[in-house]
Amino acid sequence: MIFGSQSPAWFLGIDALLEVFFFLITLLIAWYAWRIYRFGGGEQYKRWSGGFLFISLAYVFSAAINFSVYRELIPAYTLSAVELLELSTLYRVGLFVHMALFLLGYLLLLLVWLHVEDRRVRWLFAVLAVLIAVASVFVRPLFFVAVIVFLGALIAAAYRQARCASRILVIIGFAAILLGQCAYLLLNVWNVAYVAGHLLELLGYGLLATSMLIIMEKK
Amino acid sequence: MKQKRTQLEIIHDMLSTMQQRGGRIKPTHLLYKSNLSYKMMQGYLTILKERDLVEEEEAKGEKKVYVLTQKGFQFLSEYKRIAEFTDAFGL
Repeated sequence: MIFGSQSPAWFLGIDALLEVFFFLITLLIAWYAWRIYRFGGGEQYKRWSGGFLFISLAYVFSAAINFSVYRELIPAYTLSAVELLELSTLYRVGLFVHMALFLLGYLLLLLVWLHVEDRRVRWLFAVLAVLIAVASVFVRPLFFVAVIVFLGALIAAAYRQARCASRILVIIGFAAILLGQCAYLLLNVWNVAYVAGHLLELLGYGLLATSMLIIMEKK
Repeated sequence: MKQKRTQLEIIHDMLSTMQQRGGRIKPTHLLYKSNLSYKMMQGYLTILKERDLVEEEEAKGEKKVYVLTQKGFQFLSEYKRIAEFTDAFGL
């Protein structure tokens, strides 16, 4: 997550590496859902793939911005005012794109699980997600609250239909990611919240990866 | 009461029926085994042909048959994973 300004110094760079891992897991899920869609699956597989693709792009964007910002900040202790302004603009644009993609991704997943078929409703929620992303550039906690709401609804919808071991893993995985967002809400008061959030996301995406491994083992 | 079959389950049932018949089947046999109306079966056959899971063969003087493609066989071999993915992510 590109909030590195609130990260402990020792964690700089590690966050970007973790985000690359998150990108790979979400891309794998997006790829397999697309593969099923190509085989003859319904629209829900296409949208599920799209949702995870947005989330994976959000992470690749975040990791790329983090790497480029750290590369400028770490060696250059004497950046000029103009360079600082450019870095700040890059950071804000990157932040907005990351948040918009992330929100759109989880929103798509939620709309699949809620079986929302009306196109107008889907577009309305998409516009809402982008507006939340715009507002979140200035009021950061709004983004985390929105993600918590989306993830909470997703987990509630999935829990009602839980009937296999890999579904339980997926639910716990999403719950860990949700707890990660709760940790990020404490960024301003707790220095290690950034680390805690990433570790919880690592747990969450790790569980999703484990469920994918179980799936791939099936013959 | 048995739940309605999903699209993927119906596709799997149709392709399995074809596989059991050595990969080739006449439309009437498929209709009988697939447990679908004629209109629905035609709809699904369109999807199967579009997705290259099935091919239509009509030799001169012989009746039309549907043939399972390589991709169709691949789908059948991967169906367990597909079903597990669907269950895991609630799709």
